[in-house]
Amino acid sequence: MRRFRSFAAPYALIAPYGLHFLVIVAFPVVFSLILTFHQWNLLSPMKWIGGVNFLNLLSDPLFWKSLWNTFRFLVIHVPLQVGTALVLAEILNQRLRAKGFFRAVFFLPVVISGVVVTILWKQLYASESGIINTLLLSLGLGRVEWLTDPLIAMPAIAIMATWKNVGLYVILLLAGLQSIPRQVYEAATIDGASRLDQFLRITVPMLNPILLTVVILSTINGFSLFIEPYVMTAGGPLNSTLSMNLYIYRQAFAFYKMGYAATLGLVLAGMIFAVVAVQRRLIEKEF
Amino acid sequence: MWIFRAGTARGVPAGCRCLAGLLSAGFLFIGCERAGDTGTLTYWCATNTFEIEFARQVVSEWNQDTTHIPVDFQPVPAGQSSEEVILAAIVGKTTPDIYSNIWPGVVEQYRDAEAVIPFDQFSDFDSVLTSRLPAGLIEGFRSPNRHFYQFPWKGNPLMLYYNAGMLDELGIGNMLPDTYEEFLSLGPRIAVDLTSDEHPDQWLLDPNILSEWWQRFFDFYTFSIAATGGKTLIYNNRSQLDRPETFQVMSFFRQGYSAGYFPRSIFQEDIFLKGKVAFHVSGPWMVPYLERYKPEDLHYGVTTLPLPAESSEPVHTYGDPKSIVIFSTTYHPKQAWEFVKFFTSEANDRRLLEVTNQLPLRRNLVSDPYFVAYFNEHPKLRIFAEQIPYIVATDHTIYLQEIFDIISQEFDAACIHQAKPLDDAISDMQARVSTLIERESLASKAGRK
Repeated sequence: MRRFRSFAAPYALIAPYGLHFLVIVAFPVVFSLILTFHQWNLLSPMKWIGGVNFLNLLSDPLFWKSLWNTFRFLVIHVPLQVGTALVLAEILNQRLRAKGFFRAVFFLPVVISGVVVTILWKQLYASESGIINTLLLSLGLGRVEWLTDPLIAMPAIAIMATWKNVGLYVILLLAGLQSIPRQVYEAATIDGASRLDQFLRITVPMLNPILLTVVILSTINGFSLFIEPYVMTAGGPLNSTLSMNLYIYRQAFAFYKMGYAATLGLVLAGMIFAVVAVQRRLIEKEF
Repeated sequence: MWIFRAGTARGVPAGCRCLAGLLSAGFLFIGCERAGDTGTLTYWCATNTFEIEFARQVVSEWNQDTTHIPVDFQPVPAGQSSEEVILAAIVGKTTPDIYSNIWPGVVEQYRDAEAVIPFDQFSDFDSVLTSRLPAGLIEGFRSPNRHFYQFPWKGNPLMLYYNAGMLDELGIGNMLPDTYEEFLSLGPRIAVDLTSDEHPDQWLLDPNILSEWWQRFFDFYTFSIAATGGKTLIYNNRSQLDRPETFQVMSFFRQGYSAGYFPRSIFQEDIFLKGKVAFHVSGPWMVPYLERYKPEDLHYGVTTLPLPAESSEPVHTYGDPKSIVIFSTTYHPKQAWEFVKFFTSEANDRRLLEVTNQLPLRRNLVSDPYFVAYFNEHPKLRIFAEQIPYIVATDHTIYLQEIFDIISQEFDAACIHQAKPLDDAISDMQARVSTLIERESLASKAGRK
């Protein structure tokens, strides 16, 4: 009996997580994979259609548009986010007054609900009564159609997303900066290295593991772009802010094309894996 | 494998249904199927305060008669939209017996899934329907298989609100524009730059520029119904989007946007309330809102939509109707039908007006002495009530949302942003919608229905 107990106890202890994993992770993943080969609108019976969803995807202009938009967002958002976070972390790493206050201020948007932030920025970006345009007009500059100009809407969303998330990456990078020994900088100063040289040749390489984490997290976050275009632009103007996630949501919950939505989801997951793998290789190789 | 088992929605394994329900709406209540027959009817009403009060009064009166089956009521559970909640409930088989606020555009999907029962199975249905509904509206609620799966209840005709003060200042007064040409000719006098920033500060009309599929019900579809004398988009299983009126309607909007008469902006305030727009398309729900919030100096009126050319015929519009359905999960269809009849009786229609300020779909509503006193007290709502016989609902297709999404994309490209020639947009729209109709037709022929 005692032997049985000692055998069963570890399994009993991991059972809750095992159950959680099976129900919340494994089942949806497997079910999604099965769905990609089916046509299903939730209400009617599932119908096996083989690879039709994958073929439809190739000839769907909105899939390619949403893919392009997502990459466009990543190209703007990831460097902006990582660059801003690095600069802010470097500033906060200096001897500043009220350092704790600034850290809290930068982190605050991270803990505010995404929908709240989006509504707030929608007010700021408003063409007629928004603060940003009012400021531009008072400076004698022209009005900008932040959310209704097809060329500007996505960069505007990227700026907002950066503001929302940068605090988290600042904290991560700050922790990394503080772990770099002071002596390395002192030695470099004695050797005549400038501040810029020190930043590029000491700070950045020594931050490499954390930088990699920040880039990967930021990329995954970028791929999951949804709330911002959903609340602010509904994917417009001219589908210029239609992200992959928004498109998947529409296919699933506006048109109830669950099989097609699952196929899009699978492709998105594959792309995230691929992009993150490439980033990992590049960053690890670079430094 | 059990997961592939075919059949009706009932044939989908409970696990899949539960998961899909959770995914689609995130409502835990879907987790289990409905309990068996409890000897009561469950009725869900809309979530707004006035309709909850209306439902409470009707149900309370019904339950006072002990010969009736008792009715339990509750507002439809919270969700992104009531349609989404109902869908999740159908998937999870937790639907109520009766729901009173269904948008006719989704009924065909529910019928396709055998989730709702036909009303014409009840022997007195025809007489109840024909004695209540204006004759011209009846066919609009019939499914393509000739049955009625919804009982038309109330309507919200979309009409043109106008800022009377702004028009008076321009000397237009009661000479309201009847045609697109007259309407657009007001543009240069209304859409003017008041602050010298080379940007108009007030506008002629303010359609919403967001490209969500349902936004097109408030501009393209409503104007299209008016322009065609009350025709929907599909006739004889063929898309009618290539008709001349589509070009006229889209051309009207394209001109309005390109000339700057219609704003290409997303506003964070109600610009009609602020007196920044001369005309605004909305339903009767806006009357109580304006009466409550409008500044003292805002005077407004309501009129019919402009048309491509002069016409002496009544102007039609989109009616944004709401219907009542009985779900196939009910154990008491006959009693549910009795409740629906009671719910839509003359007395309860007057109660609907008095409690919610919403218009029942009832013939002779304005001239019926039973309702006259109400409309004497609410002259603005009388204008909407007069429009009731000329409202149009939606086509009966399971692809309605997709069709409107296609329209919205082409409207966005051709009218709002002028990034595509009108002819190309219309022919693309026609081709894409035709493909959907063909797909539905093929599925129907394959015996899925």
